[in-house]
Amino acid sequence: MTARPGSVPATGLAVSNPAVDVDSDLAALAAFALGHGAARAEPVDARHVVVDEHVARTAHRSGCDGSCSSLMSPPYSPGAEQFAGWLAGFERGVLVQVAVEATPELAALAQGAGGWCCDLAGLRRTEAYEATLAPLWRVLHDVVSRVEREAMRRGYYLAVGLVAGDCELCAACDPSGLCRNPLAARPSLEAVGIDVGRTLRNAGWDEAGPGRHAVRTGLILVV
Amino acid sequence: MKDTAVERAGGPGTGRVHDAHVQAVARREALGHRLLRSRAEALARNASSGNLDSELAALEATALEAGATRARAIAVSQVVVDERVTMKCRVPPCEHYGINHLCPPYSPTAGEFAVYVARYRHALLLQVQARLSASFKELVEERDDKWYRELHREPAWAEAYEGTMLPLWHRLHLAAIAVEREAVRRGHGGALALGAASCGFCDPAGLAERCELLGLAPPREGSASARPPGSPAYARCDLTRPCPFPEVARPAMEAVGIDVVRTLRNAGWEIRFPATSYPEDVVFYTGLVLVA
Repeated sequence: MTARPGSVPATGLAVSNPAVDVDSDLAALAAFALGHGAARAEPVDARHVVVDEHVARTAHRSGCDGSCSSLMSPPYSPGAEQFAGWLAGFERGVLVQVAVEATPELAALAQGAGGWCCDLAGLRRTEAYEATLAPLWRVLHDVVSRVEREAMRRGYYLAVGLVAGDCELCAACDPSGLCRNPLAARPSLEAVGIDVGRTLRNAGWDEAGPGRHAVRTGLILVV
Repeated sequence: MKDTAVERAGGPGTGRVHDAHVQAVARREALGHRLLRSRAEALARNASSGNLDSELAALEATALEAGATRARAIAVSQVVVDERVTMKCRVPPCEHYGINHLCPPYSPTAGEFAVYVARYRHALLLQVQARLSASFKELVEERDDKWYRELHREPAWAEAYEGTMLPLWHRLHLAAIAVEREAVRRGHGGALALGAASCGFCDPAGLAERCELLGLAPPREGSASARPPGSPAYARCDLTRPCPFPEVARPAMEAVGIDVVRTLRNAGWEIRFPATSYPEDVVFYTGLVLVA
């Protein structure tokens, strides 16, 4: 099922639901992202987004009970199967990346090397992480949230933004309760099963990122 | 489905429940709720369309008399169900997610509801409208440094919500239930009302009055305590117990995956983005009654 806001022909009454120009709106959203902290932002075809159940399943090391996790990561986040159903309704989106100078280890971690969720739990409170990847996540979260809001203001009311990496909004998440940051917290790309590497390759982006930089990727599905 | 409230109010055909709704609307207006009425326009439109059967026209009239600003019978083929609508309940999580019996994950899923919808052919779309007060408009006006995700926690928001949005929600709910009951009275036992936003039926303000109006047993002692100061304006259900008002509590259209925007546009009703772009400072809630 596809939805292009404004494209459903009105029946009966004359209404002023405006026609939309998806191409120019997506270009404007990408420019908006670049103006709000993104290092790279481009419109992307939703068919380029790869969902693989294996990605979400390997978020935790074997034997992990998920206690290192947050409500925005497996096993609490929406699963790959559910997300694939949502993704099927979209045709276009905007892919964004943010970057910061970092050590090769942290750059590799940002790109998802290893059993990222469990590894991250141990690394989280280290000084290097707090100085680089944590603020980087917040920049990405801010950009994605702003682009999603701008898309909704333009009439793309089903627009949804996702950010790579586990949620950093709270110092510690209590997955046994409800999210303490409703309307703000977002599941990660990996949590819902998106294979970020393959998605970037499909979109024609250089997966390695710009040199000695830690890069994180966000996706806003728009229409 | 047996409508016990209709029986308590004097049995089918007496119209007493219906009359009570009319009186309730009059009371609400006397309390100062300013309505944007387009009843004459709506009735003229329905008369000219000429393809609605008399029952649906009567239900439109019921909705208008019960407090709806406008109502329109539509074909159920115009109702769009899209699972991405309930995705928006979860990504990012809505402030109502997981705290209300009538919201996800407790409400029927879009997949389940699409199956229900497929059993119907006729529905009634209804809307209640109000004007935003100047202070409310100032409060919700979007700014770069003011997001709804922060705003909804502020005491000023709770106050404004209680003053404008909650009474409007109750107006929609009473009108939708009135239409559902009238449809049941006319023999459409499967009629089902849906509201908007999260269910606020058991909000302490005016609960006893609503129960009396709908012919329900009065709220149990202690079940309708005043909301603690500083708490969010919307209801938080006791999820350890079943819903205390199953006869009248209804999920929102969007909670069951109905794409309200596309459904409204299919019905020929305007909806604009951003929400703050309405020059008349209009705020509205939309409901749907699946009839037959």
